[in-house]
Amino acid sequence: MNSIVQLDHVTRSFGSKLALNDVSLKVDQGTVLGLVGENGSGKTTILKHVLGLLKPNTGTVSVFGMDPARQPVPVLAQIGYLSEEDILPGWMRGYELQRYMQGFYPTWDQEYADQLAKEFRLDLYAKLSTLSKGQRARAGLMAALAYRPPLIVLDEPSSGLDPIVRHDILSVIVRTIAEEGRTVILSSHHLAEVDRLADNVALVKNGEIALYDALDTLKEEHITCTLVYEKANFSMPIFKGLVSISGSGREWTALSKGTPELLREEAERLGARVIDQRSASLDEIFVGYSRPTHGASR
Amino acid sequence: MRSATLPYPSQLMAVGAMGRLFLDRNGKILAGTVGLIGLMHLLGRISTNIGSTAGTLAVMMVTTFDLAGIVILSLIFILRQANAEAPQSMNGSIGNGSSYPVAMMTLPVADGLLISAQMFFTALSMGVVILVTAGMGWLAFDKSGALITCQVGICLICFTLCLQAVCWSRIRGPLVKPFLCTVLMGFSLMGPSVTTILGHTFTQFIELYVGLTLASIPLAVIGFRTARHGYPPKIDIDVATKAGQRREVPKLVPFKSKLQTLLWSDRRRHGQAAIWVTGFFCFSFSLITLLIHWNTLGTYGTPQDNIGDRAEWLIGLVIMSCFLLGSAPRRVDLFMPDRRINPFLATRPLSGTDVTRSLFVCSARTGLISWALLVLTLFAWCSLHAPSSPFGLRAGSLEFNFQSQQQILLTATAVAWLLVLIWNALTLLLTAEISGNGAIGMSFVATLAVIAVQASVQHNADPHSAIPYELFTVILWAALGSKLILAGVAAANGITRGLFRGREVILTFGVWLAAAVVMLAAKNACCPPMLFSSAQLTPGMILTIPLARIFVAPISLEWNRHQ
Repeated sequence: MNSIVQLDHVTRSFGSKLALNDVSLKVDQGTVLGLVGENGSGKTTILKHVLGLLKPNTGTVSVFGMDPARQPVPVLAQIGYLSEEDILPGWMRGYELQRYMQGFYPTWDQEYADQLAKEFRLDLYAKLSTLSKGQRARAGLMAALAYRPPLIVLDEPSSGLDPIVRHDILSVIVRTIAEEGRTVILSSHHLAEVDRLADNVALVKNGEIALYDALDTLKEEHITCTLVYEKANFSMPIFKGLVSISGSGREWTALSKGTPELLREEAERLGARVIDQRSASLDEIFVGYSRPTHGASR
Repeated sequence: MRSATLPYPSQLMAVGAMGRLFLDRNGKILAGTVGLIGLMHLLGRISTNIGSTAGTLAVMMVTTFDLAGIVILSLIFILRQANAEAPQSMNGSIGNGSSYPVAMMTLPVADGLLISAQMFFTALSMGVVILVTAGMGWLAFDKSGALITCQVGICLICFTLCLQAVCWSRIRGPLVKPFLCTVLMGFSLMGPSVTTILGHTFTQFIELYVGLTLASIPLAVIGFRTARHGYPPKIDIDVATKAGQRREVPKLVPFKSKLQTLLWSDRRRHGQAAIWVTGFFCFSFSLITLLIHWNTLGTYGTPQDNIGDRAEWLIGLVIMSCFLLGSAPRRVDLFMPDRRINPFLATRPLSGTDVTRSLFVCSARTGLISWALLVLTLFAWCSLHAPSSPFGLRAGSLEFNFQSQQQILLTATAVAWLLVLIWNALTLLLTAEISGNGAIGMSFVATLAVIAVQASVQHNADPHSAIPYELFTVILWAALGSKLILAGVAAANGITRGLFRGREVILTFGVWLAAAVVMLAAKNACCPPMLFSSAQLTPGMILTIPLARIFVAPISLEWNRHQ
């Protein structure tokens, strides 16, 4: 499969703060990459490198085989970008925004734009500054999708929006991906969205990629379970494959990486029983990796 | 020189109107400032000219608070009547005695005209305005005077219609508002500066206003056309859909190029920049004029007049400062240290050259539009004084300053130079915007301050002392040299970075050189030495043509876009 986006050992710092540390990512054509991580972990910084708004201190960024900072015009012509910040020019009206975007993108599909506006019930006469946050987000998505870019970059597209707007936005993205098979990089706090959309997930933690794999593989490899001891155990159980653990006394809830057999063997070694064993959800994986492991061995 | 008396009411009128246009925090601050300044003006002038002061206050009140203005107007008419019955007080206030009978007569007439115009503002009675102004002209002069004042009344109606179109309609277009603001400012601020610099008499000053008002008629047309066709009324989409009234979105003609798109989108920003820069120029001109004429202000009248004139100038500067701060909130943002290029624009497929080209074309266009108004005014002014003009009936009784074609040509050249200066300043500010470097903008302020101080020193200094004069000449030539060096370095850097090609650099330099040659030829053909010598004018004029920043802009854009 062709790689649309490729980051190789990218390091970037702002003054003394290290924002990205040796980040390597690859996004294949037609796949959806979900970027998850805590606030300030470096998700937006990665996206800005993809857009060419930031240059790496070391390492290389390649989008469509080009450096987006050195060749912004051909790269940006193929990217649809929806920012978490409200960056739309507030003085424009909806139909003026359409006209404006039309000028930059020869592939602009006016029928599709009208269709999206109708679906979103966008008031195209209103100035963008007078629209609600949800309506502005919808307008931003319309502007990002209507020229049918091969790569869509969504930075927290539904941050701070109500469930109805989130549903609208998600539906359109799902449909776009399903019908046209476009490449998407999605950064989001809403793990349910990522769970629904993403083929691959990258967990960003303190400027590093803590975890990067296919979503299905991640779910298969991670197990959530409860360890039960015969007697109360006041020291934290540490075993092979452990990602995170919480609890006290007889019952401990753990996230582990590995096979169920390995988990059972390790539990027996510790003198505990495994109950409630199941595949971990993305939410549990995210929380598990984000929380300190207290020296647990992996 | 009593020409300062009329401009201040009109400045206050403009400030009040600007407060209406910018109905935000700045507008409110502006309105409050107007009240304070008006009160100061009232206290300062009440002992010498009750009528003028009351007229000022009335205009201010009417433009700021309509309903209150109606009440105030009634009071003003009573005051005017009382004042008219005591002509000796009017003579004393003017201080020019019988040598300036026209000025003496026009002072109350002008106040009356403004008041009449404000009547229209509130009562929408055009006929009354025309009748009142004509009647006042008849009473003050004769039949020809009635004709003139009637014309003034009509022009004021056009102007107020224009204001109405912006203030009370739903126009929020990117073009009309800045345009109107520019008109307002030119109307209010350029008047005193031009008048004082050129030494116009008071009646000529009124004619200047007439010209400005005539020039504003096309704007009124634009305003009404925009209100009718350009920006359809906002419809609550839910309500409209339920009622089955949903309108089709207008099918807009797609832009043909990125440049065209950028020019369209930059229009608003450039309009604001035009306001800021034009206002700043007016402010600087007033400051320079004040410094130059400090020792001669009020010398035609009594010592009280001398003090009054200086106080008026100082108050005028405060008014202008407030005006600029209030009317240009976006420009103040320019000096915020964290200003960056808008991410919406940064993520569009645009090269640095695209953005820079659009900025310069747009700034040139805005500068041209802004200053075309002034040129129109001058033409109107000249036509008023043509022998065949019906308004020329009174020409023989007035003292004119434009006595030869060369002087008219000189003024036209000065205006053209102002135009280039505006363009220069616009491009400078826009460069600062895309580079995020406020220091560039501040350097422009510093340059003007240097010129103001220099002009003052040169005018008031001992003619035998040549040190400041020579120093200023050296500074100008050094600035020109550094400009050329910077342009060369920036061009080489841009080529190295692949931001532009050698052919583009040569073309830009060629256009710059042609503009410089044309400007110098015009200077040599029709500009006699005035305040500045040729040794100062030559580098000064060449400095106004942007070169270095054209080459610097794409580099600074690249820095900001790809940090």
